[in-house]
Amino acid sequence: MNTHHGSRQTLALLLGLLVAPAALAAVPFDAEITLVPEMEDPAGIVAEPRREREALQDNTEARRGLDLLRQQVTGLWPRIREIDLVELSRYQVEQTRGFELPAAPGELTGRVLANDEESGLWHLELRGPRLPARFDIVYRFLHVFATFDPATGEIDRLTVTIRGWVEE
Amino acid sequence: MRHLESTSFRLLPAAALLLALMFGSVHPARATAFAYHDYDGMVAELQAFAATYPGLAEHFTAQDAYGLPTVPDGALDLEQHILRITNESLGLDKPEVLMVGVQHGDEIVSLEVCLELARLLLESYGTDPWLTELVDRREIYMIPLANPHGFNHGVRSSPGDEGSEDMNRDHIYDRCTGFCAFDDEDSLSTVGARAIHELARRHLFRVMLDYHGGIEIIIYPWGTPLHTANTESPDEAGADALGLRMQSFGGPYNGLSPVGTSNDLLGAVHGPMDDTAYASSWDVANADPLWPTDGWRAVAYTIEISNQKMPPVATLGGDADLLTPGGLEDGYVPKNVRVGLAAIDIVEPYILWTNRASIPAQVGEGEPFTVEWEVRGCFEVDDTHVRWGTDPDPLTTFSGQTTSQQQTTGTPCFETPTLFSAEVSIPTAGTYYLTPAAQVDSSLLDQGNPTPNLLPQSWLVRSRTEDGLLETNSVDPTEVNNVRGQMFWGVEALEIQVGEGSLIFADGFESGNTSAWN
Repeated sequence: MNTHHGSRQTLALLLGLLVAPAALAAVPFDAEITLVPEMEDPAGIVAEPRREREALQDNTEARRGLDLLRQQVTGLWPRIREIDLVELSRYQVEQTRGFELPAAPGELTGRVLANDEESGLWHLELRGPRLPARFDIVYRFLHVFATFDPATGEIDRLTVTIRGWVEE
Repeated sequence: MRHLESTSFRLLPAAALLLALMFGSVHPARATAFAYHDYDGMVAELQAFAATYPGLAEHFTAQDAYGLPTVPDGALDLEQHILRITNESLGLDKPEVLMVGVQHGDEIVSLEVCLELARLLLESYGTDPWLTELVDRREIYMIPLANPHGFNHGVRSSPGDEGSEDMNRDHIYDRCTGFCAFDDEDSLSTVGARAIHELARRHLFRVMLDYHGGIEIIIYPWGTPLHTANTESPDEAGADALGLRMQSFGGPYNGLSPVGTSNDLLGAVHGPMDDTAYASSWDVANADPLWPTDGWRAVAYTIEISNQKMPPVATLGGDADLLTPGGLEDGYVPKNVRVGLAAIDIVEPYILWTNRASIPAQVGEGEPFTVEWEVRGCFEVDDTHVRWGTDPDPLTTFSGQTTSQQQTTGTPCFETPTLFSAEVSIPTAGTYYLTPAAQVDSSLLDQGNPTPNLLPQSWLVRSRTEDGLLETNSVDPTEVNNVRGQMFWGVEALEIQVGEGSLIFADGFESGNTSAWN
């Protein structure tokens, strides 16, 4: 597991302050983003089995968390664009070389993964832009995982990785 | 019923019909062109194979053989149909190969490849020498339509315990554990995956081909997340060698298919068929302990047939010149039938004695005669020669041999095999037995830096590089299967009398006297 720090982050922070919409001023732009290699599990994030997961998708609290996560990811997008995707990639490495994320994240498809009954935390996932692959049947996307605490309204454990599937 | 009949349109997926209408007629343009089958058409084909070739083809279902449930689809009860092709009169303890089609219900071109491969083998028996050898020497199992429910509905998935599932993530190797956003958690919850498992655990498949559609590629393990950092398996050399042969013999139709590991070319998935077929009987720590089996050490491939899951009928090809890459009616079906034949051919070395009928039954002491032979079912010939001795098993116990020959370049064992020839002269009188002998494919032991760091584990490689290997699978007591390893391969020995007198051929003619032929 890698953590994204350093001068690039500082630069991104400055850029972010310039471009972040006023409505997102409350977004913790210096929030720590954990980077996880492609298809590895994000630490501290869990997912319910598929059937149980389906029942969570319409939960109002969870949807609020997803909306907030979308806002944060949009606000943090300049930083996210700085991430070295080649370093994150475990497959299609050559195809990823030279690829740049779009200037805006575009549609961020959200999914509720789990609710920790003990802590009350919601475990959330956003799927961002598609990443390159040698073959069309390989689907790779930038993914953001996080937890949402409905009591405090805060997003935590922000994790960026690459996930996807193959329709071989 | 060879081609799609109008009465069976009702079961063809609607999307398939639409595509067929867009890109070409479902009726063949040529009398010999291939076309798509529906479920009933496939069953009729398999039944016809068994009825027409009773000693060569056996048809059964996983439901009847293994007590699995049917797959309900409205008023229909769908089954996983299995076809076995072999010359039963020669026994059922032969090297085995498995072909699977349509794990993904919308990749229906794979069904056609399986059916046409079966048809070619059966119809050619007794007329094509090579294909006859394959039917005599191999046991070929096919599950042409593993996912009949998905097939009938034109969708990738199959009903399973956890709802709609991807059958090719439902096998027992490298199951998804922990965070599992895209994969189901239980092994073998689809009936099709279970059928494949039940078949496999009763056999010792040396090669497994899992036919798909949607891309054109030949991939082999590793292909799961366990092996992301290092994609080289202990059997990389063998898997790559056969992959390249299948690529070459499949031929150039729409371009040669790229060959490589799944992880390198596509990406990793949990529970795929090919990694399961390769590793789940030896890398047991990473296989689902609920479904143990000794049957899975196959060199295994996912064969992606065509860039479209249901390519237009006009691209399927026809059965003229089927064995020729780039032949007269080439298309996706002939190309991948040849891929299958290459796999069937390689599963065990064998020697054909090309001039056995003209070998003398009696020769004088030191009198020379010529032996010619081919070595088949291999990639390279490391050492081949003729052995003789007074023991009836001269492959094991011999007192003389000819000079060793080898050929490790080109394709000495395939398509047009190298004709080896040696002059034999036995100096001392007596009754002798002789056979050509061959050692093959030692290069399959070559390794770089495999994970795990083990010698090759597949039956394909071990059976030709490991003297004394004996693995028995008797899960089905009515058909006990064995893998025997040996370094040298021979043929049934020929008895020769060496002594005074003229060279006498087995047919009674003296050397040089050919008048009887005139």
